[in-house]
Amino acid sequence: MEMRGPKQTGRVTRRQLAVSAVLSTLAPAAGQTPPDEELRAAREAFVRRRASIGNVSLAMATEPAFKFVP
Amino acid sequence: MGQVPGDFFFSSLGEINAALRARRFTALDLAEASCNLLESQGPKYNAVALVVREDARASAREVDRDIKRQRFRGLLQGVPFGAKDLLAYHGHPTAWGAKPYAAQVFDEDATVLKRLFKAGAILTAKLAMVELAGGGGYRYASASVTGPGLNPWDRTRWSGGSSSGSGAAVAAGLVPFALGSETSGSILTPAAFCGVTGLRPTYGLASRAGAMALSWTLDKIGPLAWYAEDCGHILQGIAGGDSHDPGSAGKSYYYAPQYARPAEQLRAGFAPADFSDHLDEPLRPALNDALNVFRKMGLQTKEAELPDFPYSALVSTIIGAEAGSIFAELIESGKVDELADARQIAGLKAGSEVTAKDYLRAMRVRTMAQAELRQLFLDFDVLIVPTRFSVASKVSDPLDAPSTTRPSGGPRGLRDHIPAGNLAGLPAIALPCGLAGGLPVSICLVGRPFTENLLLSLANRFQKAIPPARPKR
Repeated sequence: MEMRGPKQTGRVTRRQLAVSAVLSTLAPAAGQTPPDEELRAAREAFVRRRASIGNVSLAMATEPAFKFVP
Repeated sequence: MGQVPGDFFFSSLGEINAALRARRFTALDLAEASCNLLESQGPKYNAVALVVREDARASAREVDRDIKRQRFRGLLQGVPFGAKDLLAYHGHPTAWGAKPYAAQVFDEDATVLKRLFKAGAILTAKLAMVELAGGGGYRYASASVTGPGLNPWDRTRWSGGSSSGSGAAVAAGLVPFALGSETSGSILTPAAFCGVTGLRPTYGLASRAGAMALSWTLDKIGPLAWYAEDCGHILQGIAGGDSHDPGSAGKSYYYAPQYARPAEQLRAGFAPADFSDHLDEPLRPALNDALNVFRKMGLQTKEAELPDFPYSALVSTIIGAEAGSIFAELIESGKVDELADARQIAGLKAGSEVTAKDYLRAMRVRTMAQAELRQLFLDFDVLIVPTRFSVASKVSDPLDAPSTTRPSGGPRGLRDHIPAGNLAGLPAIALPCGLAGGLPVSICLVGRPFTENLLLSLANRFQKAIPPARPKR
């Protein structure tokens, strides 16, 4: 995990932990599909995405830009 | 001082500021009123992560001292607001909507919060969000440690994501404005579904220091409020260069829509299919009326089409790879399994397996798409498109189900504007434009980079013709 900038202190009060515990009980149960089937489907989705990106010709491509330049 | 009416936070920033200056209310009155609403009404919509009443009181007292001495700092002074819970706020949990981070506390504030505090705005709540801003791709609205975001127009409907609480809290009148974030659709979607105005700024205009990273090259922070004009003032408050954000454009922003070119000189692109076949039928009257409002303003409209790229695949691959790196520790430790949404868990795991080759290819294609979008904007000053092509879905509906009412083929139009606009870092504004079956409908303006004033000048005129409607409480 990552956050830009500020450092994490890890200081947590008892009240905050209690709030978190209550919040976590509100989390709904995970979906019905078994996890391994979900993972297989997610991997397949990336394969489909790779194929559709792969269809784009790179003949006109330059190097990738990692920062938006107006 | 005065009793704050229950519907006061549907007011514009100008009205709130005038009330403060006229001493109808103190900033403390407003902060207390907002906290009361957030505590009493917020749970109805699962909109709130944390109310910060004590801090709000302390800030409000300071503002009241300033106002008493006639130290006026602008329209944001004394105005309560909420912030998506991905923005660090010192000394309080910043949970990113996710159980594994429920007890996470930072000791500094996100830059955008610091800037709003400097302008005198008063944080009253951290607002609920989809866990990890939806990274990995979620199937259900319930993908959040605070439960599904419920829509103030109809609580059986979703408030949109991932800035779910930001959209709902503004729409329900709990705060006059909120900050949200968008990686691909997370400001525009809740703004559209909740019937409020949402501004996605140009990439790099508002600092992301202190915000959870989901995608370094896509994340943006922006405001949700009732009025476009308010979004302009808020953006002015949060924008500006920041050495703590490597993606910062290093630019300031001054809200000055009066200097934008008049509508009569502007060329707008739209796609007829986006206002007919691509659109769920009940939305068509409101969106066609909205398009006609822009025409009556004098905009020259001409047909437009996005360049042919697999925008959704590009966005998913880039977010998958970047989030796979950002959340490597979460994924490798197995704590990712504590997330609420099974599809999202799997998506994060699969994203971490995207190869460097695939990521770089996606980034190279993205560069080509950006170049072609720049070409498109040689012919147009603005693109007009439905923000979303259907109204808010039912809370229990799977979000990844294909549409059964709209054809998937046909002309491309501009319907991929959300992934395309985000890939190219373009600014966009979502404007409420009526109702369909009692639920909000929204139209979107997309512009060239750093043309927020142009979008806002059009949006201001638009909202004189079609002001936002309010839900009944």
